[in-house]
Amino acid sequence: MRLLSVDDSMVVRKIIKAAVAVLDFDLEEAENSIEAFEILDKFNGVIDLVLLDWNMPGLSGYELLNALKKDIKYREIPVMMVTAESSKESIVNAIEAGAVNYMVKPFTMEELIKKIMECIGKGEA
Amino acid sequence: MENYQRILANNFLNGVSETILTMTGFDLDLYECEFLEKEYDISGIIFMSGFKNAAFNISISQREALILVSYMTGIEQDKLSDQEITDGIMEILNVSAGRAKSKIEDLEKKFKISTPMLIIGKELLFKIKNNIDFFEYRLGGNNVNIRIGIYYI
Repeated sequence: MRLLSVDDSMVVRKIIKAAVAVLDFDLEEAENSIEAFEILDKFNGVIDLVLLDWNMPGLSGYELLNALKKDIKYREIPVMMVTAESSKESIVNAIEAGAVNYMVKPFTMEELIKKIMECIGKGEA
Repeated sequence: MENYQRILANNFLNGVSETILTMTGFDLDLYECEFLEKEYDISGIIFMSGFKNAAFNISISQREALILVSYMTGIEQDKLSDQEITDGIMEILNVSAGRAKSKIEDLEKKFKISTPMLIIGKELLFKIKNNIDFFEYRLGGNNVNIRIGIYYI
């Protein structure tokens, strides 16, 4: 399994990396949408899950989610939002835009692992 | 109006406390701030605008920031870069303000939050303008002390 974390916070990417390592999956890291598209292109869209922050410089996570879902090459890739944005409106908007799951920061390692497993169909939905 | 100031302050305080507990495992105690003139090395601020305009501040020493970020990431203290330390404190500030925002929005008050900003130096002294409404506290325990301020504009 190969996951992509898109988050402008280096510390959050480190935390996600540690969780993904527990699962013995590979993690690609992007600081913004430009790097995210570079990685998606590099792996020809073969990414099993994108973990996406909301508030980032350049395209926001929500804008990137919409861009991915409109792109025939990437729209089948599951996306989970991982964000401090916890309003009901944000959650509804993200799910309507095609996110498969939504993780509100802060989270424990166990919570993150459980959500990742749900997203890739290996845990309880 | 005054009631909302208190609610917003409490939401931010709870946000910081919960964020640190979840991300580091540290269950810190809240105290009325008794050392306003203490000097800090890292001071972060994030602004909230909407029904009320507020500035949220957290200040911490470099040594204590190192402890927190080490627990957040699982990386040993001597292997953390300066950027990782400041990034970690910025994340605590950002997530705490996000929690405060969502809780106050449950009361149907809309807010926007700015990007977090940090000032880093040696022995920073935090000063505020006279005659503004504010709340100041200290979160402490586990060899960590964080000064928290909520200022209404």
